Amino acid sequence: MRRASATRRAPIMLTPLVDMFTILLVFLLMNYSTGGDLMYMIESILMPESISRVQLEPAVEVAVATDRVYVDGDLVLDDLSPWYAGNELLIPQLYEALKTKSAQIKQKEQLVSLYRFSGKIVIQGDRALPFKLLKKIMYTADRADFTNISLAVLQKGQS
Amino acid sequence: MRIRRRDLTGALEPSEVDLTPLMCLFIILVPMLLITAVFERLSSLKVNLPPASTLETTDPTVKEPTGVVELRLTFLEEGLALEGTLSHDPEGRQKEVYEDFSYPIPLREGQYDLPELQRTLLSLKAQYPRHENIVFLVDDRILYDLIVQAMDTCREENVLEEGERKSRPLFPNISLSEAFDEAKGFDGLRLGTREIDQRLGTQ
Repeated sequence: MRRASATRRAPIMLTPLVDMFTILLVFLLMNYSTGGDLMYMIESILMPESISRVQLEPAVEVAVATDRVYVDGDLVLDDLSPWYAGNELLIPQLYEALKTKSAQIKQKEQLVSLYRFSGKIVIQGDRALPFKLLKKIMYTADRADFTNISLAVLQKGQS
Repeated sequence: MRIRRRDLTGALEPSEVDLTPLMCLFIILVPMLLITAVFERLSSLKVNLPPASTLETTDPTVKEPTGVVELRLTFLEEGLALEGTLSHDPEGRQKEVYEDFSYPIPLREGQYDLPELQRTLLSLKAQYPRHENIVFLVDDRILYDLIVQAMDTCREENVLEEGERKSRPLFPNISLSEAFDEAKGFDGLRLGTREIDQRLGTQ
């Protein structure tokens, strides 16, 4: 330190750095969201874009890629091809997983007085999913007592 | 202090603002915000499942004296079709006349014509401002992406007014349903859940 101060001190131009930081700070503050989205993101799923601005609520999540189904991040079914071909609406493996979830939540409901089973479920579907499969997922969720269905979407062009 | 006093008396040398505390603040804040930054935001779309009887009857208690009784949007591979039932009451409430209408929206250049759908919905909304429900009847082969886009189109109208984006609700209560094919029927509708329920010990 003493040596540095002994020689002539070169001034560092801090102004451009401060400019940059200010811009960065404003930009980051602008798209800062206080409510975190807690969701199991599955890599192979590309969700559709929508102009909806409704916040996601915590709920049981069903993620549907074009060939497999996850419930809350756990793989439930790794081959969907029979449901592409067949006409039956119920997907037994998914039904079983969802029914277990709803039973767990209902059990919790009895232990905690303020806790209510809302029947909320969020479907995270891939863009390329045909309605034939979507309807089967929705039907299965409905049969497993999850009647309050929402679709998860990516927000389109932020304004 | 001595230096500064001398500066004040000299009054010519410009004093520099000490930026160090500001830099400290920035250096802490910027990484923190960068870490928590969310670039892909998620949102949700509420979907209703239609009640079992939607297609046959509508609830008489909520029926408006005149207006839209039901609005359906059919998705087919050949295009969209907006259908519905309107009611008029030329001789008072007791004698309502029901009238079906159908407005096909064919594909334009191989694409589903969503702008045309929005124009049609807008004119309907202008005539029947209180109606908010719409039922989607979707063909099996229609892709999820199109359904979400059509939901956006039906849910609200986006207009640019004086450079500001505004949205007005159109028909926000959307029910998703299957395009009913009489010949096919609903097979497998009651496919057993009982065995699984018994195995899990749930009802």
